[in-house]
Amino acid sequence: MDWVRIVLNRIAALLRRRALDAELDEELRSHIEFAAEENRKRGLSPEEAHTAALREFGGVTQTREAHRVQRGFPLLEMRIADVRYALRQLRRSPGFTSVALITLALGIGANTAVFSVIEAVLLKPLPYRNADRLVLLTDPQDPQDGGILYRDFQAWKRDSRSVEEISAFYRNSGWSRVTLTGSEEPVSIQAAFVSADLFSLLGIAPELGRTFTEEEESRHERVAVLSYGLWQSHFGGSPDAIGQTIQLDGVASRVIGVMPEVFQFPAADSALWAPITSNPHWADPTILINDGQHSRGFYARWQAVARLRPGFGARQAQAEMNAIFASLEKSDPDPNRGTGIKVLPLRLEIGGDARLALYVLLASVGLLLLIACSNVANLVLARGVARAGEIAMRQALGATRRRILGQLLTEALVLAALAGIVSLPVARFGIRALVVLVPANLPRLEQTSVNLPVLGFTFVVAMLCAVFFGLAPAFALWRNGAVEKFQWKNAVSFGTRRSAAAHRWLIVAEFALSVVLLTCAGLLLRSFLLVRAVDPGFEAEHVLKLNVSLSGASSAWPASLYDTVVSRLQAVPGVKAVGAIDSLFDLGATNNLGLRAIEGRTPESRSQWTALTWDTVRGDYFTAIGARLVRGRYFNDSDDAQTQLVAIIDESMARRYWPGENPIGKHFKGQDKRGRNDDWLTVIGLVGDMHTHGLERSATPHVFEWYRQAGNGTPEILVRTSGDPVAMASSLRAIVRSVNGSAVLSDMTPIEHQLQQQLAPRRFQTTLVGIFSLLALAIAFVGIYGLMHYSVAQRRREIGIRMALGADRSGIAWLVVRECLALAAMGLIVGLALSWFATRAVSKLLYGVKEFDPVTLILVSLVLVGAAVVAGFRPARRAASVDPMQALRSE
Amino acid sequence: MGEDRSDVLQGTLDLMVLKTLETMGPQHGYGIARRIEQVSGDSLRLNQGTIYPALLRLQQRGWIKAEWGVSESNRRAKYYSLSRIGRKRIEQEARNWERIAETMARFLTASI
Repeated sequence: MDWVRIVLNRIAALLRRRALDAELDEELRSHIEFAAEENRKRGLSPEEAHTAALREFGGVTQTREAHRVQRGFPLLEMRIADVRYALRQLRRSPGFTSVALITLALGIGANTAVFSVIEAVLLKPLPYRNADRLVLLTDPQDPQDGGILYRDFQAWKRDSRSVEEISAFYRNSGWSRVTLTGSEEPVSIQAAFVSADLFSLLGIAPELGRTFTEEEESRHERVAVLSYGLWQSHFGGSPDAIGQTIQLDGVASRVIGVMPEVFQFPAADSALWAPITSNPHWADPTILINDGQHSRGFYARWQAVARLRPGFGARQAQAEMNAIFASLEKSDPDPNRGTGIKVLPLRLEIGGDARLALYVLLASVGLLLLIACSNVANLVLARGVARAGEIAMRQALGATRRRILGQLLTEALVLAALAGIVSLPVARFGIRALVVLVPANLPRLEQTSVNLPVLGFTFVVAMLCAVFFGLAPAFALWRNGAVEKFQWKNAVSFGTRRSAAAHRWLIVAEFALSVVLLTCAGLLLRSFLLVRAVDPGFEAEHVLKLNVSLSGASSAWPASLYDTVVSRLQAVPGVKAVGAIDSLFDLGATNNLGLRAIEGRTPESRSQWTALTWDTVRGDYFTAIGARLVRGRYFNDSDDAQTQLVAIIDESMARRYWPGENPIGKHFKGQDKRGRNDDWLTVIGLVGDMHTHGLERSATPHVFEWYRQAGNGTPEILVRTSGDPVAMASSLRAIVRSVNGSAVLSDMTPIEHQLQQQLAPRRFQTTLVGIFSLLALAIAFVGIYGLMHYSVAQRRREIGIRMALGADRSGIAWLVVRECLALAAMGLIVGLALSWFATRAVSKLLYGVKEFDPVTLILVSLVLVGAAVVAGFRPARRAASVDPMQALRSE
Repeated sequence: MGEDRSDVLQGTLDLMVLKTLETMGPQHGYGIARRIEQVSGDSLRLNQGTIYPALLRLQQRGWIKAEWGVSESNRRAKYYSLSRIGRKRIEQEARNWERIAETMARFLTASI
């Protein structure tokens, strides 16, 4: 192992360079002495003998150099020397160093912070075994909530070749919500009903206890595996939890295990897992209504997660699923089956909509960093010009161009590395701010941290910055001949004239990038304002919403409970109206539904169905929410099971089925849960569209039925008050409690808050991109101001001559401002061209504005030109106040 | 300086140094250089200085050792001697070199 010894020897030599140098010198001296002595013995005079000895030796300096090269790591030693030199240089100009360091550290830190969120939420592989081969099998029309037939699932399990393992689970959030009773107050939690093999498929072992077996699943046993969170909140993390009994929807379940915190499947809010067969709807014939031509939309929504065999991609699996689906449709037709199967990589599913927003943020901070780098490059360039003398001197002394470039690059790398280190606390602060501010409950957000991949990202970004602001000015110096044609006397003036071009291009680039950011921020801001200005169709002020449910989500709803609650609440002083509805503010996907029959129209085939929402209301719902009655009347107590079935529809519904007609008095049949599918409903009222599925969504057709005729539970209770609804919350809560002590009360919020929450993601991204773009503008502003200031200082002589030749002061000032404007205009043109691409990337985040929005573009242009004029103002005044006599005399 | 004198081939100097130390025993740098010049006669152009990097290289490999000592003329000098590893390697290195020389010779005769 010669090389090991060589390397060790060399490292050892590195540490005692001086001693070894001295030793070598002594050795060489003795060598020459030996030789001279021998020469003297041969009869040469002492001087001749010494000269001859030196000649035979052949170059003491070269030998020393060769010896040193052999001894250590010459390249490394050179680098170390460069780093030391760079540190000295940076120390020597603290002003430059601190400005550059702060600028870069802020830029790099912001990038690191945003990246670390992306890393945690989007990039970090899911904690499951072979997570890259996991796919979801879902309904293509409704990947979030759509379902598949359980027997189809079994067919895939049997027939598929691309799938290695497959497991089913029950996802729909509404139907697998259960009430946990037994502790002080009943709570509603999200359960997940899953196949026994899900745990082994995902490859996650329980933290405590065990998961359930296939035998338990086939025996429909009531066992439960708790999530880490539920275990902590309900059992205080005690190991005694295993074997205890909990009440789920009033039925006893035995706790057999606890999953670790990383296990968040199918969603982050999954609080417990139970056998798929213990779901109350498992094989429930009453929810699978199918009369040949028509079928229920909300039958069992099983979903499946599968691991593909190695070598099979999602696309191949998709092709195979399509084939299996087609053959099932042929051999075993079932109208309950969806329109197909979609194979989605699991990682795509998680992260969802927030993905684009996060990447837009990363792009914005990236642009910001680029602008910051341009400014630092300008500083480096200005310093480089001042250092042209030093560089020329080094070159004259024999340094090669490569060597000097290496030196300059080292300086940049040292600066960037320092900035990288300084940026870490900045990033840490940024992460904390982001985790608090990011509104959408992103999965795994809490896992955001500065870890190894994030540090790697920071390192790469810092190094790229170094190359950008270090090398670009170095090349610019040479290309412009600042170094080669350097002469002592005119170093500065020569350098500035030529390298000014590089300065200008950097400024143009800064302006262009600022335009891109400002344009995106402008479009997002306009979208935000437009969304905020959306008329929800109801009056959100002074309305409190509370959700009241009883254990056993699916059991028959005691209508009397709601009647009592509503009437008791109505009697409270300060309450103006109380109403209830079965579901409100459902921001998930809306199902496509068809009507069995519509008066005056032929029935529609399944492919023509569109989104339709069907709700049951109670009490003074429309008054409580502040709806607008367009025609007809609201429900009243004379509408009951004995009278004709009535419905209130919204304007979207009227437009969809009876365009241009008066819908009042029209008849239609629908899909409802009463099993009276062939009853005709009569439209008695028309209300204005209400954006209860999200402000940004266009209103969808809506049918409201009366609780006396529909018989659904109406857990969402709305209370309109005359004063501040929050102040009444506790008294309202007490009233509900007094009616039924075991009722679960949740989500007690003013609906105004609900609307604010809907705006939160948009507010967040708009604020952030807005801040980034303003910072960009500020940096560009400082950049152009600095350049103009500098340029006026350098051109004093020229200005003096102009003045001496009769130019007036306003003309001189205009000269400076004109230059600012020219740079801004170029930046604007380039920036607008770039924006064309950038705005397409953000188009999905826009609402109500097109990517090409003249208002935004004009505003951005005005802001930019204004900034340029303001930046040029002071330098222009300075130029105008030059005293020609003094300027000419001083050189 | 005749045209027929050649520069020292890369790598051969190491072997010459080893061989010198093997026959002569511990030597200082000048002694080694003189010995190589004497043995090779006038056919080799050697800048004596070039043996120092070679000596360092051999030291780094652990084939030779160095020690300060005093010469007959009472001068302080660094004395080099073969290490155990070096002694073992000489034979191998010599064989290597012979093989190269042989191959080279075959090429040269073949081309005639």
